[in-house]
Amino acid sequence: MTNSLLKIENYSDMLYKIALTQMKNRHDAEDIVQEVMYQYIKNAKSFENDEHEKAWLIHVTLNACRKVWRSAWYKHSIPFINVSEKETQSDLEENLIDREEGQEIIAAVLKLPRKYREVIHLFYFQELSINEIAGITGRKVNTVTSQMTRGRELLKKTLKEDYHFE
Amino acid sequence: MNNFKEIYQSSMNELPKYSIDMESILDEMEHKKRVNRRKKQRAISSFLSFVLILGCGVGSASAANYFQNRIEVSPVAVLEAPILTEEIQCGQEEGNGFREYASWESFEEQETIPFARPQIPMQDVEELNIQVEEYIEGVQFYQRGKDGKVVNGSMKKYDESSAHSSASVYGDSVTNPREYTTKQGFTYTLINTVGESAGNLGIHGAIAIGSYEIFIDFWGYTEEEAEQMIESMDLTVYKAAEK
Repeated sequence: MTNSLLKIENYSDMLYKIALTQMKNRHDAEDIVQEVMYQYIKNAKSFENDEHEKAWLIHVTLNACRKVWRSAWYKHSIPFINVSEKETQSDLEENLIDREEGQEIIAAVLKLPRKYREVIHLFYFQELSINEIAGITGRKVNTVTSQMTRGRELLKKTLKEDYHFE
Repeated sequence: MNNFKEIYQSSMNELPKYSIDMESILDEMEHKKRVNRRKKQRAISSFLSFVLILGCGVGSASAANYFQNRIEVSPVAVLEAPILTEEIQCGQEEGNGFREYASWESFEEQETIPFARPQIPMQDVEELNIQVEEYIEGVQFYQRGKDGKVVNGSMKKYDESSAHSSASVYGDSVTNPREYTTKQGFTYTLINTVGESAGNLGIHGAIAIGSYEIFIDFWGYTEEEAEQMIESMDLTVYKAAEK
Protein backbone atom coordinates (compact mmCIF):
# COMPACT_ATOMS: atom_id res chain seq x y z
CA MET A 1 0.00 0.00 0.00
CA THR A 2 1.40 3.41 -0.91
CA ASN A 3 1.92 6.06 1.73
CA SER A 4 -0.94 8.19 0.48
CA LEU A 5 -3.36 5.26 0.47
CA LEU A 6 -2.28 4.28 3.94
CA LYS A 7 -2.81 7.85 5.05
CA ILE A 8 -6.32 7.87 3.61
CA GLU A 9 -7.09 4.57 5.32
CA ASN A 10 -5.93 5.94 8.66
CA TYR A 11 -7.74 9.22 8.24
CA SER A 12 -10.92 7.41 7.24
CA ASP A 13 -10.96 5.35 10.40
CA MET A 14 -10.14 8.37 12.54
CA LEU A 15 -12.93 10.42 10.95
CA TYR A 16 -15.34 7.51 11.12
CA LYS A 17 -14.87 7.22 14.88
CA ILE A 18 -15.38 10.94 15.29
CA ALA A 19 -18.53 10.85 13.17
CA LEU A 20 -19.76 7.73 14.93
CA THR A 21 -19.48 9.28 18.37
CA GLN A 22 -21.26 12.35 17.09
CA MET A 23 -24.00 10.73 15.06
CA LYS A 24 -24.27 7.48 17.04
CA ASN A 25 -25.14 5.48 13.97
CA ARG A 26 -23.13 3.76 11.32
CA HIS A 27 -25.05 4.96 8.28
CA ASP A 28 -24.59 8.63 9.03
CA ALA A 29 -20.98 8.16 10.07
CA GLU A 30 -20.14 6.31 6.85
CA ASP A 31 -22.05 8.82 4.80
CA ILE A 32 -20.15 11.71 6.33
CA VAL A 33 -16.73 10.12 6.07
CA GLN A 34 -17.21 9.06 2.47
CA GLU A 35 -18.28 12.52 1.43
CA VAL A 36 -15.48 14.20 3.38
CA MET A 37 -12.93 11.89 1.77
CA TYR A 38 -14.47 12.47 -1.65
CA GLN A 39 -14.03 16.22 -1.20
CA TYR A 40 -10.56 15.74 0.24
CA ILE A 41 -9.35 13.67 -2.68
CA LYS A 42 -11.14 15.60 -5.42
CA ASN A 43 -10.04 19.00 -4.18
CA ALA A 44 -6.42 18.04 -3.66
CA LYS A 45 -6.19 20.89 -1.21
CA SER A 46 -2.67 21.79 -0.19
CA PHE A 47 -1.78 21.73 3.48
CA GLU A 48 1.06 23.22 5.43
CA ASN A 49 1.83 19.95 7.17
CA ASP A 50 0.22 16.75 8.43
CA GLU A 51 -1.23 18.45 11.51
CA HIS A 52 -2.90 21.07 9.34
CA GLU A 53 -4.31 18.36 7.09
CA LYS A 54 -5.63 16.36 10.02
CA ALA A 55 -7.15 19.46 11.63
CA TRP A 56 -8.88 20.37 8.36
CA LEU A 57 -10.35 16.89 7.99
CA ILE A 58 -11.63 16.86 11.57
CA HIS A 59 -13.06 20.35 11.15
CA VAL A 60 -14.92 19.42 7.97
CA THR A 61 -16.18 16.19 9.52
CA LEU A 62 -17.50 17.93 12.63
CA ASN A 63 -19.16 20.57 10.47
CA ALA A 64 -20.83 17.87 8.43
CA CYS A 65 -22.09 16.22 11.61
CA ARG A 66 -23.43 19.51 12.91
CA LYS A 67 -25.18 20.32 9.70
CA VAL A 68 -26.90 16.99 9.61
CA TRP A 69 -27.96 17.45 13.22
CA ARG A 70 -29.23 20.93 12.60
CA SER A 71 -31.24 20.02 9.58
CA ALA A 72 -34.87 20.51 10.39
CA TRP A 73 -35.66 17.95 7.75
CA TYR A 74 -33.29 15.52 9.34
CA LYS A 75 -35.33 15.70 12.51
CA HIS A 76 -38.54 15.50 10.61
CA SER A 77 -37.60 12.92 8.07
CA ILE A 78 -40.00 10.07 7.89
CA PRO A 79 -39.30 7.16 5.79
CA PHE A 80 -41.30 4.21 6.88
CA ILE A 81 -39.88 1.78 4.43
CA ASN A 82 -37.93 -1.16 5.81
CA VAL A 83 -37.61 0.33 9.21
CA SER A 84 -36.61 -2.30 11.69
CA GLU A 85 -36.08 -1.95 15.37
CA LYS A 86 -32.49 -2.98 14.92
CA GLU A 87 -31.87 -0.05 12.64
CA THR A 88 -33.19 2.33 15.24
CA GLN A 89 -30.60 1.34 17.81
CA SER A 90 -27.37 3.15 18.19
CA ASP A 91 -24.92 1.06 16.21
CA LEU A 92 -22.13 2.04 18.46
CA GLU A 93 -24.00 0.97 21.56
CA GLU A 94 -25.06 -2.19 19.79
CA ASN A 95 -21.45 -3.06 19.02
CA LEU A 96 -20.65 -2.83 22.67
CA ILE A 97 -23.43 -4.94 24.05
CA ASP A 98 -21.24 -8.00 24.58
CA ARG A 99 -18.18 -6.10 25.57
CA GLU A 100 -17.97 -5.63 29.29
CA GLU A 101 -14.81 -3.65 29.42
CA GLY A 102 -15.19 -0.24 27.97
CA GLN A 103 -18.91 -0.59 27.48
CA GLU A 104 -19.71 1.56 30.43
CA ILE A 105 -17.17 4.18 29.49
CA ILE A 106 -18.26 4.55 25.87
CA ALA A 107 -21.91 4.48 26.84
CA ALA A 108 -21.22 7.31 29.29
CA VAL A 109 -19.47 9.36 26.60
CA LEU A 110 -22.34 8.78 24.18
CA LYS A 111 -24.79 10.03 26.75
CA LEU A 112 -23.02 13.35 27.03
CA PRO A 113 -24.52 16.34 25.27
CA ARG A 114 -22.94 16.68 21.84
CA LYS A 115 -20.66 19.63 22.60
CA TYR A 116 -19.13 17.82 25.57
CA ARG A 117 -18.95 14.53 23.69
CA GLU A 118 -17.05 16.27 20.93
CA VAL A 119 -14.33 17.77 23.13
CA ILE A 120 -14.01 14.66 25.30
CA HIS A 121 -13.49 12.45 22.26
CA LEU A 122 -11.00 14.80 20.60
CA PHE A 123 -9.06 15.22 23.82
CA TYR A 124 -8.97 11.65 25.06
CA PHE A 125 -9.05 9.65 21.87
CA GLN A 126 -7.41 11.94 19.33
CA GLU A 127 -5.15 13.37 22.00
CA LEU A 128 -5.59 16.90 20.75
CA SER A 129 -4.73 19.74 23.07
CA ILE A 130 -7.29 22.25 24.29
CA ASN A 131 -5.76 24.81 21.94
CA GLU A 132 -5.99 22.45 18.99
CA ILE A 133 -9.60 21.63 19.79
CA ALA A 134 -10.37 25.33 20.04
CA GLY A 135 -8.76 25.89 16.64
CA ILE A 136 -10.62 23.03 14.99
CA THR A 137 -14.02 23.79 16.46
CA GLY A 138 -13.70 27.56 16.18
CA ARG A 139 -14.42 28.02 19.87
CA LYS A 140 -12.53 30.02 22.44
CA VAL A 141 -9.97 28.20 24.55
CA ASN A 142 -11.95 29.13 27.66
CA THR A 143 -15.10 27.68 26.16
CA VAL A 144 -13.40 24.40 25.33
CA THR A 145 -11.85 24.28 28.80
CA SER A 146 -15.19 24.74 30.50
CA GLN A 147 -16.82 22.20 28.17
CA MET A 148 -14.08 19.74 29.06
CA THR A 149 -14.59 20.37 32.77
CA ARG A 150 -18.34 20.01 32.48
CA GLY A 151 -17.97 16.89 30.36
CA ARG A 152 -15.71 15.28 32.95
CA GLU A 153 -18.10 16.18 35.76
CA LEU A 154 -20.96 14.53 33.91
CA LEU A 155 -18.85 11.46 33.22
CA LYS A 156 -17.90 11.17 36.88
CA LYS A 157 -21.55 11.26 37.82
CA THR A 158 -22.47 8.62 35.25
CA LEU A 159 -19.61 6.18 35.69
CA LYS A 160 -19.86 3.67 38.51
CA GLU A 161 -16.11 3.15 38.80
CA ASP A 162 -13.66 5.84 39.78
CA TYR A 163 -11.49 7.14 36.99
CA HIS A 164 -8.79 9.70 36.86
CA PHE A 165 -9.08 11.97 33.87
CA GLU A 166 -5.70 13.59 33.51
CA MET B 1 -8.12 4.27 40.19
CA ASN B 2 -8.76 3.51 36.50
CA ASN B 3 -7.32 5.66 33.79
CA PHE B 4 -10.19 7.04 31.72
CA LYS B 5 -8.03 7.88 28.73
CA GLU B 6 -6.45 4.45 28.47
CA ILE B 7 -9.72 2.56 28.75
CA TYR B 8 -11.56 4.89 26.40
CA GLN B 9 -8.82 4.61 23.79
CA SER B 10 -8.61 0.85 24.00
CA SER B 11 -12.39 0.52 23.83
CA MET B 12 -12.61 2.76 20.78
CA ASN B 13 -9.77 0.87 19.13
CA GLU B 14 -11.62 -2.38 19.68
CA LEU B 15 -14.45 -1.18 17.50
CA PRO B 16 -14.30 -2.57 13.97
CA LYS B 17 -11.86 -0.58 11.85
CA TYR B 18 -13.56 1.37 9.12
CA SER B 19 -12.11 0.67 5.72
CA ILE B 20 -12.91 3.00 2.90
CA ASP B 21 -13.50 1.75 -0.62
CA MET B 22 -11.38 4.12 -2.70
CA GLU B 23 -12.65 2.96 -6.06
CA SER B 24 -16.22 3.56 -5.04
CA ILE B 25 -15.42 6.89 -3.40
CA LEU B 26 -13.83 8.28 -6.55
CA ASP B 27 -16.31 6.97 -9.06
CA GLU B 28 -18.67 9.84 -9.93
CA MET B 29 -21.62 7.65 -10.72
CA GLU B 30 -21.07 5.70 -7.56
CA HIS B 31 -20.77 8.95 -5.69
CA LYS B 32 -24.15 10.18 -6.91
CA LYS B 33 -25.74 6.82 -6.20
CA ARG B 34 -24.18 6.78 -2.79
CA VAL B 35 -25.42 10.24 -1.94
CA ASN B 36 -28.95 9.31 -2.89
CA ARG B 37 -28.79 6.00 -1.10
CA ARG B 38 -27.36 7.58 2.02
CA LYS B 39 -30.11 10.14 2.07
CA LYS B 40 -32.62 7.36 2.47
CA GLN B 41 -30.48 5.36 4.86
CA ARG B 42 -29.89 8.38 7.00
CA ALA B 43 -33.53 9.02 7.15
CA ILE B 44 -34.47 5.52 8.22
CA SER B 45 -31.69 5.06 10.70
CA SER B 46 -32.03 8.10 12.79
CA PHE B 47 -33.79 8.91 15.94
CA LEU B 48 -36.91 6.87 15.67
CA SER B 49 -37.28 6.93 19.39
CA PHE B 50 -40.50 8.77 19.51
CA VAL B 51 -42.73 9.57 16.63
CA LEU B 52 -45.51 12.01 16.21
CA ILE B 53 -47.88 11.26 13.43
CA LEU B 54 -49.83 14.11 12.15
CA GLY B 55 -53.19 13.44 10.71
CA CYS B 56 -53.38 16.31 8.31
CA GLY B 57 -56.34 18.12 6.93
CA VAL B 58 -56.60 21.48 5.26
CA GLY B 59 -55.77 24.13 7.80
CA SER B 60 -55.02 21.84 10.66
CA ALA B 61 -52.76 19.15 11.92
CA SER B 62 -53.52 16.89 14.79
CA ALA B 63 -51.46 14.46 16.74
CA ALA B 64 -52.94 11.08 16.05
CA ASN B 65 -50.75 8.48 17.65
CA TYR B 66 -47.57 8.05 19.54
CA PHE B 67 -45.49 4.93 19.40
CA GLN B 68 -42.23 4.09 20.97
CA ASN B 69 -39.39 2.93 18.77
CA ARG B 70 -41.18 2.31 15.54
CA ILE B 71 -44.08 3.36 13.47
CA GLU B 72 -45.95 1.95 10.55
CA VAL B 73 -47.86 4.17 8.29
CA SER B 74 -48.59 4.40 4.62
CA PRO B 75 -45.33 5.74 3.25
CA VAL B 76 -46.78 8.19 0.80
CA ALA B 77 -44.98 11.17 2.18
CA VAL B 78 -41.26 10.88 2.49
CA LEU B 79 -39.23 13.88 3.39
CA GLU B 80 -35.70 13.55 2.21
CA ALA B 81 -32.80 15.10 3.99
CA PRO B 82 -30.71 17.55 1.97
CA ILE B 83 -27.88 16.16 -0.06
CA LEU B 84 -24.93 15.84 2.21
CA THR B 85 -22.36 16.77 -0.39
CA GLU B 86 -23.69 20.27 -0.49
CA GLU B 87 -23.92 20.41 3.26
CA ILE B 88 -20.27 19.59 3.67
CA GLN B 89 -19.39 22.30 1.15
CA CYS B 90 -15.74 23.02 1.45
CA GLY B 91 -16.37 26.29 -0.31
CA GLN B 92 -16.22 24.91 -3.77
CA GLU B 93 -18.91 24.08 -6.26
CA GLU B 94 -22.48 25.21 -5.97
CA GLY B 95 -25.71 23.92 -7.17
CA ASN B 96 -27.12 20.37 -7.54
CA GLY B 97 -29.00 20.41 -4.25
CA PHE B 98 -30.05 23.65 -2.71
CA ARG B 99 -29.36 27.35 -2.49
CA GLU B 100 -28.12 28.77 0.78
CA TYR B 101 -28.55 32.19 2.35
CA ALA B 102 -27.04 33.73 5.44
CA SER B 103 -29.61 36.49 5.85
CA TRP B 104 -33.37 36.77 5.60
CA GLU B 105 -32.93 39.86 3.43
CA SER B 106 -30.94 37.94 0.79
CA PHE B 107 -33.41 35.10 0.92
CA GLU B 108 -36.36 37.42 0.38
CA GLU B 109 -34.58 39.32 -2.37
CA GLN B 110 -33.64 36.22 -4.34
CA GLU B 111 -36.51 33.81 -3.77
CA THR B 112 -40.11 33.85 -4.81
CA ILE B 113 -41.05 30.60 -3.08
CA PRO B 114 -44.04 30.98 -0.73
CA PHE B 115 -42.70 31.00 2.79
CA ALA B 116 -44.18 32.23 6.03
CA ARG B 117 -41.18 33.71 7.81
CA PRO B 118 -41.46 33.97 11.58
CA GLN B 119 -40.43 37.19 13.26
CA ILE B 120 -37.81 36.00 15.68
CA PRO B 121 -37.01 38.23 18.67
CA MET B 122 -33.28 37.62 18.74
CA GLN B 123 -30.93 40.44 19.69
CA ASP B 124 -27.66 38.99 18.49
CA VAL B 125 -27.79 36.36 15.81
CA GLU B 126 -24.76 34.11 15.93
CA GLU B 127 -25.73 31.86 13.09
CA LEU B 128 -28.36 31.92 10.40
CA ASN B 129 -28.62 29.47 7.58
CA ILE B 130 -31.51 29.29 5.15
CA GLN B 131 -31.67 26.58 2.52
CA VAL B 132 -33.99 26.43 -0.44
CA GLU B 133 -34.33 23.10 -2.17
CA GLU B 134 -33.75 23.27 -5.90
CA TYR B 135 -35.73 20.28 -7.04
CA ILE B 136 -38.70 20.42 -4.73
CA GLU B 137 -40.58 23.27 -3.14
CA GLY B 138 -39.00 23.43 0.25
CA VAL B 139 -37.22 25.73 2.65
CA GLN B 140 -35.47 25.07 5.90
CA PHE B 141 -33.74 27.44 8.25
CA TYR B 142 -31.66 27.44 11.40
CA GLN B 143 -31.17 30.57 13.51
CA ARG B 144 -29.19 30.66 16.71
CA GLY B 145 -28.62 33.62 19.01
CA LYS B 146 -25.56 34.35 21.07
CA ASP B 147 -27.65 33.53 24.12
CA GLY B 148 -27.98 29.96 22.82
CA LYS B 149 -31.63 30.24 21.85
CA VAL B 150 -32.50 28.50 18.61
CA VAL B 151 -35.35 28.62 16.17
CA ASN B 152 -35.34 26.26 13.25
CA GLY B 153 -38.01 25.20 10.89
CA SER B 154 -38.93 23.82 7.54
CA MET B 155 -41.58 23.98 4.88
CA LYS B 156 -42.17 21.43 2.20
CA LYS B 157 -44.78 21.12 -0.49
CA TYR B 158 -45.93 17.66 -1.33
CA ASP B 159 -47.50 16.70 -4.56
CA GLU B 160 -51.22 16.21 -4.39
CA SER B 161 -51.09 12.48 -3.89
CA SER B 162 -48.99 12.68 -0.79
CA ALA B 163 -50.36 15.66 1.00
CA HIS B 164 -52.31 13.85 3.65
CA SER B 165 -49.83 11.66 5.37
CA SER B 166 -46.99 13.02 7.33
CA ALA B 167 -44.98 12.42 10.41
CA SER B 168 -42.39 13.97 12.58
CA VAL B 169 -39.54 12.26 14.33
CA TYR B 170 -37.87 13.52 17.42
CA GLY B 171 -34.88 12.01 19.11
CA ASP B 172 -35.83 13.02 22.57
CA SER B 173 -38.77 12.50 24.85
CA VAL B 174 -42.00 13.85 23.50
CA THR B 175 -44.36 15.33 26.04
CA ASN B 176 -47.39 17.50 26.38
CA PRO B 177 -49.07 17.27 22.98
CA ARG B 178 -51.52 20.10 22.54
CA GLU B 179 -53.05 22.39 19.97
CA TYR B 180 -52.70 26.07 19.39
CA THR B 181 -55.00 28.02 17.09
CA THR B 182 -53.65 31.25 15.66
CA LYS B 183 -55.61 34.44 15.22
CA GLN B 184 -55.71 33.62 11.51
CA GLY B 185 -57.53 30.41 12.43
CA PHE B 186 -54.76 27.90 11.77
CA THR B 187 -54.36 25.12 14.30
CA TYR B 188 -50.88 23.87 15.09
CA THR B 189 -49.99 20.74 16.93
CA LEU B 190 -47.47 21.60 19.59
CA ILE B 191 -45.31 19.23 21.60
CA ASN B 192 -42.41 19.55 23.98
CA THR B 193 -39.16 17.66 23.97
CA VAL B 194 -36.33 17.65 26.43
CA GLY B 195 -33.03 18.21 24.70
CA GLU B 196 -29.58 16.90 25.38
CA SER B 197 -28.76 19.54 27.92
CA ALA B 198 -30.61 19.23 31.16
CA GLY B 199 -33.53 21.57 31.27
CA ASN B 200 -33.25 22.37 27.60
CA LEU B 201 -36.91 22.30 26.76
CA GLY B 202 -37.94 22.39 23.14
CA ILE B 203 -41.27 23.51 21.81
CA HIS B 204 -42.16 22.08 18.43
CA GLY B 205 -45.00 23.09 16.20
CA ALA B 206 -46.35 21.38 13.12
CA ILE B 207 -49.12 22.19 10.73
CA ALA B 208 -50.28 21.15 7.29
CA ILE B 209 -51.98 23.58 4.98
CA GLY B 210 -53.22 21.84 1.89
CA SER B 211 -50.17 20.22 0.39
CA TYR B 212 -47.74 22.27 2.46
CA GLU B 213 -46.22 21.06 5.68
CA ILE B 214 -44.61 23.41 8.11
CA PHE B 215 -42.51 22.53 11.12
CA ILE B 216 -40.98 24.93 13.58
CA ASP B 217 -38.83 24.25 16.61
CA PHE B 218 -38.02 26.62 19.47
CA TRP B 219 -35.22 26.04 21.94
CA GLY B 220 -34.85 28.26 24.97
CA TYR B 221 -38.11 30.12 24.48
CA THR B 222 -41.17 30.29 26.67
CA GLU B 223 -44.54 29.08 25.47
CA GLU B 224 -45.69 32.67 25.14
CA GLU B 225 -42.68 33.65 23.04
CA ALA B 226 -43.14 30.61 20.83
CA GLU B 227 -46.79 31.47 20.33
CA GLN B 228 -45.87 35.03 19.38
CA MET B 229 -43.49 33.75 16.72
CA ILE B 230 -46.11 31.35 15.45
CA GLU B 231 -48.58 34.22 15.25
CA SER B 232 -46.07 36.22 13.21
CA MET B 233 -46.08 33.62 10.45
CA ASP B 234 -48.55 34.56 7.75
CA LEU B 235 -49.79 31.13 6.73
CA THR B 236 -52.24 32.57 4.21
CA VAL B 237 -49.34 32.57 1.72
CA TYR B 238 -49.71 28.80 1.46
CA LYS B 239 -53.44 28.99 0.90
CA ALA B 240 -52.84 31.60 -1.78
CA ALA B 241 -50.15 29.44 -3.39
CA GLU B 242 -52.53 26.48 -3.60
CA LYS B 243 -54.96 28.38 -5.79
